[in-house]
Amino acid sequence: MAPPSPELVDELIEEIVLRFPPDNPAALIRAALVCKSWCRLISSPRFRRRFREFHRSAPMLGFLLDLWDNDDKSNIARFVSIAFSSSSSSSFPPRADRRGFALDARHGRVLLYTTHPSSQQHAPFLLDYCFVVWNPITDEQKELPVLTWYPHSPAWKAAVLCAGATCDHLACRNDEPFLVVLVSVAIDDVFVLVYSSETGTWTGPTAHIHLGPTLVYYAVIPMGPSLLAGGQLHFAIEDGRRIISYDIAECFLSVITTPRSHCVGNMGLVTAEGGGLGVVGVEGYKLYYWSPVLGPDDDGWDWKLGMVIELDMMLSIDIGVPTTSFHVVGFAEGWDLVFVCGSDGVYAAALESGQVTKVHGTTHFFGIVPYMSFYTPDLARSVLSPPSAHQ
Amino acid sequence: MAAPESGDGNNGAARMVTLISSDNTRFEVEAAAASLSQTLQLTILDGGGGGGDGIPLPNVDSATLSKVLEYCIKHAPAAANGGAPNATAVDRAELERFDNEFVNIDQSVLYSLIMAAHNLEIEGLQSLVAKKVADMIKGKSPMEIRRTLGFPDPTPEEQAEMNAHMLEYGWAYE
Repeated sequence: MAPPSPELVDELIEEIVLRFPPDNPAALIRAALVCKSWCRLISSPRFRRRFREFHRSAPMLGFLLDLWDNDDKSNIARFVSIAFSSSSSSSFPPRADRRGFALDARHGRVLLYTTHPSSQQHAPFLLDYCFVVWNPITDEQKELPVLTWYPHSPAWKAAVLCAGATCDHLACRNDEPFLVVLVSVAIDDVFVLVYSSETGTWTGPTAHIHLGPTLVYYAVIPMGPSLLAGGQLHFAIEDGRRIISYDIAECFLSVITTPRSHCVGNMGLVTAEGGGLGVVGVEGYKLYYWSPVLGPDDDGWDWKLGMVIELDMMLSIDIGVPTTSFHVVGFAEGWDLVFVCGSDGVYAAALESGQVTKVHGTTHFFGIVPYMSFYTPDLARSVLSPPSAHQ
Repeated sequence: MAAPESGDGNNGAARMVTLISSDNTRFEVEAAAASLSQTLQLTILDGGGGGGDGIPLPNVDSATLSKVLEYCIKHAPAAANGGAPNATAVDRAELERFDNEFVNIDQSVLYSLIMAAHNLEIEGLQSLVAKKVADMIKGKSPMEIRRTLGFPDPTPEEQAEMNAHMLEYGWAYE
């Protein structure tokens, strides 16, 4: 005879809700609304801390797509939440499109390059852009001061990262300091400028390196967002032939050569096994992945070809169309996930399993920047927020 | 219920202990299996549960205890290996298959099981059932979760609060 359902004690409720998928904030919200005691429990700093300790790596909650808004004749960055099933359209609160471009996202923050709000009244025709750091979870944003040493070169990239000394970067708080690192390539020299939210100013160049003979000038343009691995920010340049690496603590620049392949022009960076820097490239219908190994002369990097994913075998789409081609468009830092764009949308390829899944149906976009963070409800404050300072 | 003889080839038969459920049913089981319970492990280390004495478990009925011991007997060899570093992939796959089938049971039994696992401090079992319940309720609305877990219907006051939240967090309900 089955006993009547016992009332589950709070400790067990916590054990159960702890095992909810971290990439589905809506499920946590619904659980928090079951009753007052569940709400208190799920909103508590203790639960938020345990939740991220249990799941360890921050989930991908969505991604930013850089799009062209034809009505407004302007570039916009749109937050696209990961949809879970046909019945749930979104698992993230709706966020308004941002004007400009999403350049990078890390540690809960998104780096936007956007039109200066004040310029819209006075000089809307001028290309008066500025950097903005936006937190999609709290929907707060901060505009950075205009650079005095401006990247005149069109070849530059910027990255954002948390600078909190004691932060585990699983759910960085809004009040933690952050850095914005700007890497600018001028002909065959690379300069780095750094903005610190603690001082509220840009400094630099903090580092410089001479690239030596470069290929055609336009090919120097860094590709895709940055990858943070081993305390260094990495940017692919020259269509993926080389990588510029900036050591954040040492303020030091270095350059490494990527594996020789026919994938040049269609390459990207990815977090390698063990947290290092990996390289991916697509040629035809094949996705190649290289992981770093120590060079034969102990003088630096060498590359070892690892996984090869046959995209045409993994996808059910009709790729018999001769125009079908795949392009590396992004990656999820800390994950073994690479985004490739096909003829009918964006696919995420998991390097370890070789699994390829469709994530979005658009092909008309300029960039894709995944957004990873923990997102636990704090209904006690009637807002959703990352863990508070008091825990 | 008797546990199978120990097959580890050590000197003689494995030590057995007796557990007594709340409805006075006696269960004889290998000490190694019962020791998956942190609570029982202490008693067993102190020499309890052997001979004619049994260890009374006033919070666990016989149906639940039988299920708990089924889990412990299956998991005892892997636990004896200090987790699973020596376990082969086949062993792990077999345990996984067992676990999946094990929790494929009536909800009321699941709740009794998780309570028992909690009281007896059997971490693996508690974790297994918690995951199962999480999978059951993660896609449900607050009202559906209440019904699934057998909570009483909300008071009008609670209902009003839930409705207000549904407006505020409409995106989480679609």
